[in-house]
Amino acid sequence: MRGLLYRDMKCVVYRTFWMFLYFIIMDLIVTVVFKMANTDEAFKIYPVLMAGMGALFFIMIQIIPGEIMKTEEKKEWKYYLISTGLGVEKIVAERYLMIFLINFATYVFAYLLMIIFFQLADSSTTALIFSLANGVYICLLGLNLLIQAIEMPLGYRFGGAQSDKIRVAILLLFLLPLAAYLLFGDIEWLAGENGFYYRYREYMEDPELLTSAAVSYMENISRIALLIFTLIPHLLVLCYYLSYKISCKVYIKGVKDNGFRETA
Amino acid sequence: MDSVKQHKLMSEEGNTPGKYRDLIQIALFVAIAYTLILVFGPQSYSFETGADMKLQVFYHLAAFSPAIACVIVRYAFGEGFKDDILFPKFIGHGKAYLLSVALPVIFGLIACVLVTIVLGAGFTFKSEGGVFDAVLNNMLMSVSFYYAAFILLGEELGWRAFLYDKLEKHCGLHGSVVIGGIIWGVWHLPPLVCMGINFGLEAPGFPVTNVVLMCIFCISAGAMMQLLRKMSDSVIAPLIAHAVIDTVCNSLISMFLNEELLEGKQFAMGCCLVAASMIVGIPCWIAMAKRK
Repeated sequence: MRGLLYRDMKCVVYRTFWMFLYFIIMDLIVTVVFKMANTDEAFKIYPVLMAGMGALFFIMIQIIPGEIMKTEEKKEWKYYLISTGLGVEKIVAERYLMIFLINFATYVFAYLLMIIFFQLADSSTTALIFSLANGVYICLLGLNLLIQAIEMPLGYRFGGAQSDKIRVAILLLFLLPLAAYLLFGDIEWLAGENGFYYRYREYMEDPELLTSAAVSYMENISRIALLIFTLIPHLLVLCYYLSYKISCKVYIKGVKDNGFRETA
Repeated sequence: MDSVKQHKLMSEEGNTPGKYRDLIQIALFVAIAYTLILVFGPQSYSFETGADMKLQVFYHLAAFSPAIACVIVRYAFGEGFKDDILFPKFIGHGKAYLLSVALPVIFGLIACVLVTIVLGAGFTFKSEGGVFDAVLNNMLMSVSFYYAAFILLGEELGWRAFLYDKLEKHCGLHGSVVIGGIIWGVWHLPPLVCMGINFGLEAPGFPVTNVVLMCIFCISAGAMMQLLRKMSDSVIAPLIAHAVIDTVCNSLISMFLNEELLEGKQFAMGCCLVAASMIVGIPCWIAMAKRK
């Protein structure tokens, strides 16, 4: 399994390295610009912009599993892998472990970047806002894993070339209802007079206000909703496991169908 | 043959240079882990840590000090991570993973019973909102399992993936459990002294009593974790057990025991935890010896 991990790492190491470097440079540029502006108004937007950059990073890192899959098919490794006698379960488990590690490394990297650049900017960012940004990252980590849990079995079955299309379709499946909700739904809580958008500046000026808003939100949220919220991480683990099991089942069929078609 | 390979070979054969090499590795590992926890621990193990980003970084450095020490020592001695105990091996080790959840839960329940007997703290199912609230509280606590598992990876990578195995080579199974437990227990010095974890800040003979009791706790818990490590041939099983102890057991205690009656009795409660850990840990120790 170590060898397979090493192989996958070799496949994506340069791409991942450049992605990481790109985000370091982008974060640095943003920080320098805000530091030069050095106004209170600018620093109120700074945490949101940094959290947004991190979110973009999470979206971009999603291409990595598809890249590994495509390289694997291009080099026809799957035939050799089956002949090694490792067993489909171990071969697939390695890929799932690799994807988890890449996503987790992304989270840790984004988290560290946030700490470092918030310190460099010397912004008056409070721990609460920092925790909120961290919460966004954790949600994105979960979302990435969920998307990849859906994408992987389909990628194994229909080939790596289809992997990108499947990912875009899944993203659209998430984004279209969200866009529809933002356009036509009741977004009083977000853009209303007392909504988050208009109160953002107040929150940044007085973090206590944000704390009390968060507490009151938690008090008003129904217990059923809270229970569902607590179930999400466990369901995500279950999804990941089920996805692994499905991938194991479709692996051989996928190698036969897609392998022959691509090499023909 | 290069010197590293020669040393490795000699180590396998039990020759002196290999033995010294392992002892130097252990000493270096303990020195790095202790230095990091003693430098960053006292600042980060405080009630203000949550509000300060710098202290958050210090906290993570302290919590990950055994893992950092393990990586440095393995790298310095050219050992790498050739032993694949870092990988989860669920296939064929279902019993070990089942025990990694069951044993800590049993430990938590025994601790509750002991606290009830010793303190008369009231073994009642308490929740204002009834069963639904109790389930909800436990579910909220269970979410923190994942974060706990992440933090505790820092400990397990050091103790179970390095120290205990190295000690077992030279001190035998029993020696590794005792010495490893003492090293692990003393490592908890900053949180024991700064926050009074498990035994409180007003324990008789503080802080020596706290450290001694923590060592006994770690010896017993270490036996349990090491059994799981051996059964699953992976550090993930002890990691799950450790995270369950730190999250689900706390949840069980808060659900079944009357907090008002427990107020100011943290030391006695800590002693009950130590006793519970011995009740669970000693059979694990015996089972581990029999397996050998």
